[in-house]
Amino acid sequence: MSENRLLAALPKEENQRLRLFLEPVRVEFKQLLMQPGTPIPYVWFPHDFVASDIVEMADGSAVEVATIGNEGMVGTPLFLRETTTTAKAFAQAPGTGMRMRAEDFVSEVIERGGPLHELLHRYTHAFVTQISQTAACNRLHTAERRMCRWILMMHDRVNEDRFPLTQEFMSQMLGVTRQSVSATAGALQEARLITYTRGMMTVLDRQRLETSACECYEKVRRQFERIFDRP
Amino acid sequence: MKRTINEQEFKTLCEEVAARASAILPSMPDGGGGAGPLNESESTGLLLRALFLCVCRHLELDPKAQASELGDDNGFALAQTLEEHMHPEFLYSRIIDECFNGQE
Repeated sequence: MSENRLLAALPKEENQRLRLFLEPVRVEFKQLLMQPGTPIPYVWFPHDFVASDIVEMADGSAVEVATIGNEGMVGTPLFLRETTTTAKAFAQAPGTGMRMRAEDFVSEVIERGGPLHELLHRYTHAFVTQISQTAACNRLHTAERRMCRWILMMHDRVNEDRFPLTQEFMSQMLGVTRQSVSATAGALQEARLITYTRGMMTVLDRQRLETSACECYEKVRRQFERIFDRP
Repeated sequence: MKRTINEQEFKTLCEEVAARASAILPSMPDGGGGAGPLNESESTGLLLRALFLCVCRHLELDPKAQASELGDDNGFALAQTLEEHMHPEFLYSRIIDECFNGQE
């Protein structure tokens, strides 16, 4: 099982201090973690579950704006002193992680300061980079290149070559119809980069996925790596 | 001919499960038994399991066979079963969220 990289990067004493406020959890597929307009009850530190932030429109259509795995934390608005959010966060891939009550996070991380506070500043910058890059990507890049980018991002976070992925979510992630999802996945399958059968995505050729993805994948990946580059 | 499910039929099933939530949660296997109150993950899992069973019944599918093909994650098995049988297509995630909000 992989660890949350933010927590793993903390000095031992700080990690032990915060353990008192962290609860190990299992997160199910599609479990809601943050809901628009509702107070954020917890912040979540994924180990091997992957969360998505999506923005929903009044007509029910939705687009993913960020992916959060073991490099990060679900609940960034709380770090920015906002108790609610306009985006919805839910688990896209099930797995395990840790969570901390919002009150504890405010008192023990935000008000007290310290190494996690510092790391979360860097994480928030990388997170904002991801959101802005995704906005540009959705507008400028083809569905095929975006799908490659997104599969790579999932692959980095689940630590498995095979993971569940529904067509409904892929259509939200790409901002296209299910028919387009089917056609795009079909093209990648034809090129033997992936297989996609009955909702299960299998990465066959990661190297060629990287060359087929748009520049946004590498740009965002590098930004997240910078969180952990500095002491 | 393959049986299908439409948006209204799915909504009705969701409402039935939501209405029975308080009865479902302690009565499902491993959903109680004195192990203390259920956490959100366990509650979500059990409600999705109940909904998956209802959808299978509606579609005349064997839930065991479905689960053995799609894996033991109830949410994923439900989502994939819907994707393969819904007609016309609809946004099932939103219906599930709306129906189960406040049930946890």
